[in-house]
Amino acid sequence: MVASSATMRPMPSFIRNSTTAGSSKAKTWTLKPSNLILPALAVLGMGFAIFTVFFKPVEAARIPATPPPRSPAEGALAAVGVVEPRSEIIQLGVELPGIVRSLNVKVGQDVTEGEVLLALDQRDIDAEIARRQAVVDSARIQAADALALYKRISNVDDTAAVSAEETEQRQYALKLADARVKEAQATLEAARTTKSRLTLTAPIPGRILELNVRPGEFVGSPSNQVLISLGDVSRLHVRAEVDEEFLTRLSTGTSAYATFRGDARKYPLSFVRSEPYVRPKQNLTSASPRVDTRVAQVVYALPEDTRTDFVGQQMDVFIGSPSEGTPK
Amino acid sequence: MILNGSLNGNSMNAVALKMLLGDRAKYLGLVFGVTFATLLMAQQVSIFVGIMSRTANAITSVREADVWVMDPRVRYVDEVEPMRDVELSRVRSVPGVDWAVPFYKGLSTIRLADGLTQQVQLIGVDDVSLIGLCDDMLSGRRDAIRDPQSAIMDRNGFLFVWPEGDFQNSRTFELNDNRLRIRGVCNEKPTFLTFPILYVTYQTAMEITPPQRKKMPFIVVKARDGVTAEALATRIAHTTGLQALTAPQFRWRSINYYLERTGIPINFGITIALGAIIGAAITAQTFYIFVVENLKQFAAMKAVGVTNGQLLRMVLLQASVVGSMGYGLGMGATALFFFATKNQPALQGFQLYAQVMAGTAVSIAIIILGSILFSLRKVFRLDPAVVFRG
Repeated sequence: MVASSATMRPMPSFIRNSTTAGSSKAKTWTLKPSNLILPALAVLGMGFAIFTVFFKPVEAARIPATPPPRSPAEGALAAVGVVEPRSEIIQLGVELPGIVRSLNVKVGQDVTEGEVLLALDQRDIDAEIARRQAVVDSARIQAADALALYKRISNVDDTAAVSAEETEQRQYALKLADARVKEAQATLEAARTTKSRLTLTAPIPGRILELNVRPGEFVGSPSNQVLISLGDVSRLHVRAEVDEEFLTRLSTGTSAYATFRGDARKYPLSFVRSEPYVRPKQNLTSASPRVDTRVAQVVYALPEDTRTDFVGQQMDVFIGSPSEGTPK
Repeated sequence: MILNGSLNGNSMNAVALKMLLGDRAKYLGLVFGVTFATLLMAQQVSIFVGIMSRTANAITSVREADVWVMDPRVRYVDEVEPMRDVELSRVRSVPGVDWAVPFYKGLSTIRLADGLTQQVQLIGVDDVSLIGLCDDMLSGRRDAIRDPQSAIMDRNGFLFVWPEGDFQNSRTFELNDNRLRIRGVCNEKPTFLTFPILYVTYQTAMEITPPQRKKMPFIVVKARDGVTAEALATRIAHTTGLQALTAPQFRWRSINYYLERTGIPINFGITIALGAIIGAAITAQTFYIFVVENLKQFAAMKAVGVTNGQLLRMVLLQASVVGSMGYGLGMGATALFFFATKNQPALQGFQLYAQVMAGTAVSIAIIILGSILFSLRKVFRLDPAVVFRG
């Protein structure tokens, strides 16, 4: 009813406009272009916001360039091991102090058993040997003389010509001369032994791993440093240090693997022995010594084809748990 | 009868839009009120989120790791309670661990060539795998860190110490009387502490930091395929007695520590609340005035038989147009701000989050609906006779 009286009174301008425009639909919904600027900006802004939110660069999970040591079996014991020669490392020393005159080996050289490694100065002992040799020689001459004197009268039975006392005297003189020869020979032998103690020889066939001595240097006995390290590297062992907390989980029959740092290749290990004494941790994973636990040492043999020439290298050892391999 | 015929939805919408666009000044005021409220809320919340996530950037930077193992006393990533070295073997022996490597993190002081000192965050990454080392290299190679006396620094830290830049020129400095050289510069998300991040290998970190009985702060662990990080963390914690957290757990732990211990959340909370209140006040006030000034028109419409429901729809249309435009502009401005400042050290890594967008949308909607409710009461109670007075 109210609407039907529209013609009776003036309408507010905006309603009149819309009603008159109502006849042509095109005009009802006309927007001036300037009215579209703000909505367009809003749409642009919204689009940009959504773009920055949903299309940001994805941070992919990074894969390490060099693989870190991985445990080969579920629940394997992890230990740090150090490569050592089958013979362990033999740190050779000299028996007597002196000046090194000759050095016959180089680092890394393979030596046979008994090969001379180094010799200390021997002029002194050589002179001593010569002197003692001379003593032996003179003793022998004296013994020969005593023998001749004794022989000359030993066949004479006439007691008037040669008294029994005379014979006895010459007999004892001969025995004394023989004993003097033996004494001189023994002192010569002692000097020769001393000479041999001035020469260092290889106790086993192996490789020179470390050489801290040069000709002309004085070496004391006992030496204040390792002169020569020797080891049998025909087969390498790895000495793994297992934390004492794991000892109950350790058994000799389980398989073990080791990897070199930075090399993903796994080396299967064969059990050699375990040291019965649990000692303070010594092969430290870092440089400065910080003893923080006691460890049991287990020695494993590396396979024959292990690709390393280095002893003392650290390895990450994983020892399979006892349950491993049992059928489930 | 002409009017009756034209009182359909479309023409009422047209009328509503015409009312809205009719007064350009009020229209702009409404839109920019909403824009301002949106911008203030979205930007402040985003910056707040950005700052808080910086406290955990040291954790998220180690993207390789699933689980972090540390001393049980550690409450956040910048707190260091070192562990025994042997714990590394123990963690490696836990079933489900694919790999575990040590990770050093601590504060140190470097002495520059000119004698000035500068505190740095020293990061020691595993020598073999370099896990935890940033990979977005701006100069140099990552491998160079393995060389003796070599270090890598983050870009922001480098520019902070040597503002002239020139990444190629390798700088030498001292750390605890050890000579180190910058061999590479990388781009890394800045951390809350802002000190330059200095990367060295773990062994180098052990050698150049003062001797202590225990030095290993963290072990980072990768879970085997098929083992969830949560399950592994629980197992490590159970087996070793150490604290093991998944990367997200540790991250939240660090963030929560800063939330609890610093005034940052309160400060930002106040700013955000003020932004919301001011934005709401501007929007509500403008909208209220808009409705009140158009009361005559509404009265006239009531007089010609427009129902309250239709009026409500008209006002809702106006409000949604204003709201969505203001929201779009505000979001665009926020996104533009973060886009323009993404390389500023102070704002690096700050960004707009989808959650912030959604939350702001809800807040803006509530503000606008609230102001509509307030002003519509007047329209609904309006006597159509008003139009005939004065």
